[in-house]
Amino acid sequence: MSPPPKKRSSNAAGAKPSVHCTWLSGELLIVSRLPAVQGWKAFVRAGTDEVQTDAAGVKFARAGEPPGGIVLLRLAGFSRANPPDAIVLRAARHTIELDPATLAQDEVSLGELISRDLAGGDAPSRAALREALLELALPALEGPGRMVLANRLRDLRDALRDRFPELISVPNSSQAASVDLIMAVDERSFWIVGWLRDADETMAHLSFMTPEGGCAGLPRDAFRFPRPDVQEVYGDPPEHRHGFIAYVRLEHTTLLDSGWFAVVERTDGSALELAVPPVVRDLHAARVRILDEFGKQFPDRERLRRKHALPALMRLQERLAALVRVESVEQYGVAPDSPATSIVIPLYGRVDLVEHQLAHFAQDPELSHVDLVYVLDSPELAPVLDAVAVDLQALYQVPFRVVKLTRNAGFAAANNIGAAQARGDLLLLLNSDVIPIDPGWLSRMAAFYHSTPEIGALGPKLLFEDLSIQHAGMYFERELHGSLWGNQHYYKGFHRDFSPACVSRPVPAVTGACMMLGRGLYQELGGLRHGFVQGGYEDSDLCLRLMERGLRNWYLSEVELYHLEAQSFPSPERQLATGFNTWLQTYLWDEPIDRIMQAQKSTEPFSSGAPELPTRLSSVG
Amino acid sequence: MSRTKVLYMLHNHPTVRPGGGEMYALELFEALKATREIEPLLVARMPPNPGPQPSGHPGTPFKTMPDDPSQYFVVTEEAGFDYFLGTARDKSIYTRYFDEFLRAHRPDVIHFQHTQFIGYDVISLAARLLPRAPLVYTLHEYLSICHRDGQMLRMNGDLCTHESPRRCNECYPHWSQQHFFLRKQLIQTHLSHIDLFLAPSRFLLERYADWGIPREKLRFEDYGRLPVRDARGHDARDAGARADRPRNRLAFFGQVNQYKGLDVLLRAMKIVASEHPDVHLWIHGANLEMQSDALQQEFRQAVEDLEGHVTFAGPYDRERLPELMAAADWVVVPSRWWENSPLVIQEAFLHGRPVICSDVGGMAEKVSDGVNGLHFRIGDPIKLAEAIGQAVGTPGLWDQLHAGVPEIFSMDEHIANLIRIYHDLMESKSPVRKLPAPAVVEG
Repeated sequence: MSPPPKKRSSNAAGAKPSVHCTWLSGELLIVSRLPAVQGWKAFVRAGTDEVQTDAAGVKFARAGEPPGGIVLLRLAGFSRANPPDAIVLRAARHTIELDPATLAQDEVSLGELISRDLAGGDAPSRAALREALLELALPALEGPGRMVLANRLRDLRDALRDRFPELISVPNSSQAASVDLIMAVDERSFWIVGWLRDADETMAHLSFMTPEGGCAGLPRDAFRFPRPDVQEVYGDPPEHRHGFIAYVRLEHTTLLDSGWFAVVERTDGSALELAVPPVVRDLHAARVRILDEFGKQFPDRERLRRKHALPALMRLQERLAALVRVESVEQYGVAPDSPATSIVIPLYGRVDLVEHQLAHFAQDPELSHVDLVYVLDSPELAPVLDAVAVDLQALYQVPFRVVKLTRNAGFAAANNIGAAQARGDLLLLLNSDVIPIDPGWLSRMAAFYHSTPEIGALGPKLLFEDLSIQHAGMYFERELHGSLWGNQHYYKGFHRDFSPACVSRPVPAVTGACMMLGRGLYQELGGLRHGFVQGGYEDSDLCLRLMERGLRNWYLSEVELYHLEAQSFPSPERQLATGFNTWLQTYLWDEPIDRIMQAQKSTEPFSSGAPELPTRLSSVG
Repeated sequence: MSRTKVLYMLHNHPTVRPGGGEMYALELFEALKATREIEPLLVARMPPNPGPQPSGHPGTPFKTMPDDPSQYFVVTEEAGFDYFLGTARDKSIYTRYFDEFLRAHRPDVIHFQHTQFIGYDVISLAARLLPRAPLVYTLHEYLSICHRDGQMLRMNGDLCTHESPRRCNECYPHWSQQHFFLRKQLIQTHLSHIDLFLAPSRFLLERYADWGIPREKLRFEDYGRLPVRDARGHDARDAGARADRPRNRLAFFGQVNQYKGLDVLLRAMKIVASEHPDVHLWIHGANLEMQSDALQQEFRQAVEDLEGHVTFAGPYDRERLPELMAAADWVVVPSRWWENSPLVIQEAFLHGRPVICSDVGGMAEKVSDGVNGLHFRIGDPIKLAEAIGQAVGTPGLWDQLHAGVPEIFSMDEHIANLIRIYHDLMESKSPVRKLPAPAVVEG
């Protein structure tokens, strides 16, 4: 609680009524009760130097009170905790000097400032001060003390804002609107869902006001769609698209969940406001919601996907990826000196297979000189792995590293982090459920890799536990329900010796479960792409990028390993993820895949004949 | 000369669950492997595992036998199959998986032993993908005609002689006549792509002809059987033929279900036991545990009541069949339905055992009353008891009937027929146009 203001002189020109000042943050100061003039400039004095600092001044007129001057200034290089010798405010004939003692004495709480100096401000004054805050204060939401600042800015906004009549949506109102959902993608962008009805076409804009005073309009390209429930209530024709969804990007940061409202501006200049529900700040919930848009089978949603859902999702993915750090790297046993090959193995959901792999690797003399890197992508399993790692290494004498991540990163990130740790010239991405059959597989793959010109990625034959084929190369096929490109495996389920599967040949893609390529090549391409959700399709995407480079991906039938791919019961999340992944793959690679598959079919021993897709008769949106 | 690739499709693999038709199909398959002309490929449907672990591989319903690249299982769910129409609900089994399989393996001939659990649709798919490949279908029972497990048995136990929407609706009131009409139309549409139906009994052939299969597409061809040797390598026919004891040992071989007539036999045994107490019946019965609780209970009770006269020996191993047959005098086939060509009758005859059976359908066709067996009125325990009494009580009758046991159609002859059938069909479907015969010049 600050002391009551004292009437004290701080000016050489004689005793004057004192000012009020309030710190909005460590660097932001607002000073009121200044002379009511324009053109204030602020300076900080340290010793004999005076340096100008950012400031904005407002002549603030109030009903029933004489106008006063208000200055908002931002210190650079100084702060409340580390004040300059003086803050000097100059305008017209006036000079106000505020030394630390004065600042302390003249300090008032924000509530007081608002009630005593801002209440009753006229519209232009309030607008001017809002403008000043927008310019100087909102950017400070990036810095320290941001939450306190955010709350203060909300109080200021509420004091300074125009209040409009409430938009009440009843069945016979010609204008109606609702904001149903606002989900944070990051601190500057939001996924907003709602609906609008504008029967007499007098709505000019819909804007969203953040709690801290920022603002953004509903974009022109917001996705509009029918809302049968709204249409029914108002008796509108069914083709009306009341609903809207948009990925709204703001110029300013906003941190608070409650305090948003929306404003409908009309063509006659009047405005109405409506409440907005509190922001949902849950990255995973937002991701599920947005992913859902890719599962829906309406072709006219393509614009929503491309313009709104994709950028929002990419931003979410970025944020989730940025949260991941390497927590530790532990070496078990003595790492080989100059390994020719590095094997990167992500561990997700289970670690029991490490024992099996090491037992089989131990049978193979080649694997004692390999740079083996396990990446633990399920941090909660760290204690389980820790408990056995030392003994497994001592027992089997196969050296390996364990890279622990701070949180689950996903297939792409886990492999990329593992590859960053790798030291061999050749890189092999391997799943934890791949078990060798015979020794010597690695050198045979490496020999093939080195002796094949223009090779991109190399994948061997992989077998299920009953020795039927799990992988013999991959190709692309349009999904039955749409036009999206999905990944398929050649001859999956057929006998190990099925003759077409016993031919080594170039294929469109090979599986990331056992993929060999040059480490340099991998790094040049930036590794696996982060955009896909929950794994799957990063391997085909990498293979497509390799083909784009003019390289060819090869299937090597002479090398066989087990891949104990387990049937996982499809969860709704998994289905959502696959819906998006195939969409993204198609968005990125539609034409190249088409060309690749045309070329591939002419060399195929049999051509797979997916049924004819229904022809879309009209292109919407 | 390259071998003709023939794909056999079964609804069940006998190693998964015992069954007569499947056993024959597997024997046929193994025998064909040894020929120079045929390269057989087998696809058998497999039910999913009981228990929580998933059965199939992700991304494919096919599973292989590690040591045999010519055999595949296809895993399908029970709940996913529409038993009324005989089709899978999720059509991707055809459009995605069988499509890929057929294109990859390219059989020259497809011989359907069964489409239950897989679906008739696979026939139409095969016809479209492989228009030159002959499609052959062996009819094992009346499943296409009759929704009641292919038995052609009415709900009150009467034998059914013909199908119609009205009659079928009488048996299954909650399926309308329209449903039955649609069922028949759909099934016949798929079956219309079949080039040749093989009927193991003339009785069955007539039923299907009545039902609407064109006669020119129906051909009688019994199951071919492998010869049986006893432990000393002799023809098993004469095992125990010179025994000097009363011929009072009865045996039943087969599934313990409501259609096989064990209830009739056990009731008959009650009567027999009082007059001929030293008659003994061995029941070699499989799949008891798959029957309804009521049936299981009733069966066990009846067997218990006849302790001393009846032994329930459970399922039997195929290898033990000669020994079990040699230990019996009469084989009883008391089925309550028409039957087709009961494999157990062929097996009894292979072992020289006369057969006591119901007097209808396939049974009456294969067993001649007074020549190589005895008939009794179907479903009648008293008549069966009389037949048994006659069998055990008439001196010299066994020897007379044993002498009348016919030669059984051999696997070798069966295979020879099949090879000829396949090649004739391939020729008639081939794209090579025969040159017209030169015009006769009148001179």
